[in-house]
Amino acid sequence: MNLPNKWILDLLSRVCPKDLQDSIIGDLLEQYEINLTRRGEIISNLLFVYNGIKLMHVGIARYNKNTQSSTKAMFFNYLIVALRNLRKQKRYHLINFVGLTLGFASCSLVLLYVNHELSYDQFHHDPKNTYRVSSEVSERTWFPSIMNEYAERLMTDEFPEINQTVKFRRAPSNFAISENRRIDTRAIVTNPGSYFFEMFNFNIVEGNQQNMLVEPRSAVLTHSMAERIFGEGPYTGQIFKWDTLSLKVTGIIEDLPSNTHLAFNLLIAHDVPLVGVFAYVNLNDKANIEELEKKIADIDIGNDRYYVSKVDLQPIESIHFSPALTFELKPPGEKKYLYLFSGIALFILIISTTNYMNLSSAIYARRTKEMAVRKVLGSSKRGLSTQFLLESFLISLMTIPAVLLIIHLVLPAFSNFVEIPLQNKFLSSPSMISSLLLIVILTSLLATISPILTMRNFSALKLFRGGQLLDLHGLNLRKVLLTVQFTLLLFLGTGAFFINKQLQFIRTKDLGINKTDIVKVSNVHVLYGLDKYHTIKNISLSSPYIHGFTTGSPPGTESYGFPYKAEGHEERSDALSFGTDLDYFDVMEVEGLYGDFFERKPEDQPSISLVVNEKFVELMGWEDPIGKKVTMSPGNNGRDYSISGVFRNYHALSLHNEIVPQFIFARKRRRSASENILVKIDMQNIRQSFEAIEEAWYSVMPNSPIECAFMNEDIQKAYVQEQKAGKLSVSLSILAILLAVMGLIGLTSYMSELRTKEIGIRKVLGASTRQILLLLNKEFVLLISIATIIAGTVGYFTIAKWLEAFAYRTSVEPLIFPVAGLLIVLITFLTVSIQSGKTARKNPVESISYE
Amino acid sequence: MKGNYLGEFEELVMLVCAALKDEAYGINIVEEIKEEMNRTVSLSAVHMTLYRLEDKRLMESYLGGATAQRGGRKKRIFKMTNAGLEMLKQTKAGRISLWNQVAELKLT
Repeated sequence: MNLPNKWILDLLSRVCPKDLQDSIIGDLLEQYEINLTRRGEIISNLLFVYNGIKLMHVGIARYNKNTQSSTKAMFFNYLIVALRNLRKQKRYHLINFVGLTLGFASCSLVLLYVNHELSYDQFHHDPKNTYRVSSEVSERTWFPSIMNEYAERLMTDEFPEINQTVKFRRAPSNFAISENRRIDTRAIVTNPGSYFFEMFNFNIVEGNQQNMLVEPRSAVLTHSMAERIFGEGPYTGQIFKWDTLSLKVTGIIEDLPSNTHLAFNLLIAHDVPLVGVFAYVNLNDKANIEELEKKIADIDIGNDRYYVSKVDLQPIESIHFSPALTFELKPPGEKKYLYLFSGIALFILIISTTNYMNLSSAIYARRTKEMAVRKVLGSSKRGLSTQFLLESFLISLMTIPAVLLIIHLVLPAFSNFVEIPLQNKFLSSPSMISSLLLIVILTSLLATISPILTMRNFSALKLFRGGQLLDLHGLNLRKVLLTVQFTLLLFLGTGAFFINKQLQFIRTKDLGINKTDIVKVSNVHVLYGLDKYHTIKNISLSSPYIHGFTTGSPPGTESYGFPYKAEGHEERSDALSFGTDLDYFDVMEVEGLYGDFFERKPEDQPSISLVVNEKFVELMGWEDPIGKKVTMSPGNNGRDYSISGVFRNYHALSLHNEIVPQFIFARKRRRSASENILVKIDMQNIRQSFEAIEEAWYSVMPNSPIECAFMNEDIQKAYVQEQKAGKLSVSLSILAILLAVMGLIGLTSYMSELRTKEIGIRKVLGASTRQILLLLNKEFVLLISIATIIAGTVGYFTIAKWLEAFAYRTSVEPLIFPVAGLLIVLITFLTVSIQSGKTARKNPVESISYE
Repeated sequence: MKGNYLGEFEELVMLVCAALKDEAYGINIVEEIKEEMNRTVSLSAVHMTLYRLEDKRLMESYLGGATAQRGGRKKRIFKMTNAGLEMLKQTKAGRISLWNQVAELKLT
């Protein structure tokens, strides 16, 4: 046929659904022919185009009777089959379900933690361009703050790259007093007119941001602080006393979120003398950070006693993970810890995913017949894959409510554990919701990949025969997965063992100093002048519950002393030093070895004596240290002291460190405390003892809240990371073992079911139940042996590396690894035997006629 | 069934299909309507109506044989379903009952 406008047909065949193409195009052609008989060729051609175009209609293009409705029908069929399967294989799916839920839940918890840790200080007004000015003073110590003289200069127009500068200082702890309430505050003081709220973004509840900090003596309180001082609101305009000032409340902000490095509950704007201030600058986009750092360090403030040698501009968002500087506002976070958490969560996720993969491929292996029938009936490869995926998603998605429930229940305890008030963002934040979904979907994808790849490429005939399918591909993958699982398990378990062994070692190690009944008062810097220390000491000692009272550095305080020059040696500054009174050695039970100091009566002591530890003597290489001269701060109007006693080494630093050389200045009569007050109390009457200390303190310092705690708690704080890691590793290893055992139960019962016939034949041929159990266990024993070797080597080196952080550590016995491996073999053996025992004991007649 | 009624054109197409029996396909229906009712309808309108009816399960279709006339393309033959027949009967009954009432009110 001679057609003039063939393009119409091309177009139609593109637009129309396949099923309709023939009938529509056919009709169109027929109409054309009819028209040709009735009208002229030109009109017929025009009508052909016109009618053809009219046929390209939504109503027709949408027609998809066969394709869609059948897909839909198949989809429902898949769903029904999936649900039937779930019901039929309840036990295995329950194992899958519980395992996945636990895996996802622990992963989600860690996700919340990581998300919180990475979100520090991102909510401020211009976080990308905001920096904190930290400084190195006298080429020795880095401070998060800088001398006020520098900050003053930053606030002038001298630096074009600085838009805004905010400074504040930390105030000593003082009570806020209103009516009869005395509330302990944590205050910072800024200058009147400060741009504090232009830089830091805290939600204002009451007051006007523009004029909150304009007047001197204005105070901005956090909401909970205001509630504690005044009770009910509104608070603005209220007056309260703080130190010697009376302050007027000009604004209330919400309590600070936990993800900021700032820490205060009272912000005061007032002109007070400032020495070191925390300074923050907001820079414009063109600023060159390094150049500006140099320019700031080069500012000449006409004071070279505490000159700033180097300046570091810390991006505000990164402060949380920067190394801790002296006198930080808040202890910074540890990246190491973040990694540890994420690593363990990943382990758990891997273990539960491998469980899931193993078990699902085993479940699928039993459904080869169903697959074969589907193939024979014309199911496409895509259709089969869809079915697998759908089933897998169904199970994974069903875990989500359970995961959310677990998060809801466990979050309070977990928050407590990481010491961060975490919120369940899985119901509010889209990014968190989608990341959870992503993990879930990825896991179910991973679990289905292997059965999909094997089954869909098999011919229906092969699938009908079943069985072999696993041996060809599935078993290898499963072996690898099981080995990975056992390896992780062993690694976690032995790690937990050694961390806790080391913790035990730390707890029981004799530090050479009394650590049980000592209470430490840490805010003694408020006790300056006028014999306040002495008065408190005398009042305290008059109480029957106070057995001793002294001052000094408790163990664990890492502050190195002044430069010194010992007789016949170069100048050095590697010794720990502090001043105390004569009672220190008695109260702290530090043993004096020899020297006049330990023999003289108190009244015969000179006003100041220098005592050193054994390590110091050893370092100097002195035969007889008594009477040797040590010059303090040599060159710089230094003073000479001669050694009058040697005491036994004690662990003045945490057990991460070696014993350090140490010297102590003992003064006969101290007017003020040096570092901390150390009080020996009556452990039988702890409450009364604390009351006695407080009573003595407040009789001298009525307006300063006392900060006291057991010294041992402080010592233990040095190991806080390890303790957390210890607890975490124990609970997670238990979880991991639980998961693994669950997976094993599912897997072995499936495997033995699969091998029912084989077992039956073996029995007929004379195998005993025991032999069959051994046969079933053999595979696992081999895998665990491989896992033990891998986990043993990796674990040994990792643990040894971790222990290197401690100068005093427990030993790593390599024997532990095979023992742990044996333990796992035992657990596996029990699981496998209990599970497959039924099959092994079965009458072979039944086994063989199985199916 | 809610909102399930036949449009005038739908009814026409169904009736024509019933009349045409095994020859009920697109262009044939157009020609038949032209012949019987002297009404020109467009091919695309007929096609869409047929598919809509099929969607409503009032008609069903199968592919018929090819003829040289159509460039070797198959015909899609439409056939009324039982539900379609029922629907037609209902529509007719409704009409008749209305007509009867009109007769009673006849103006003399």
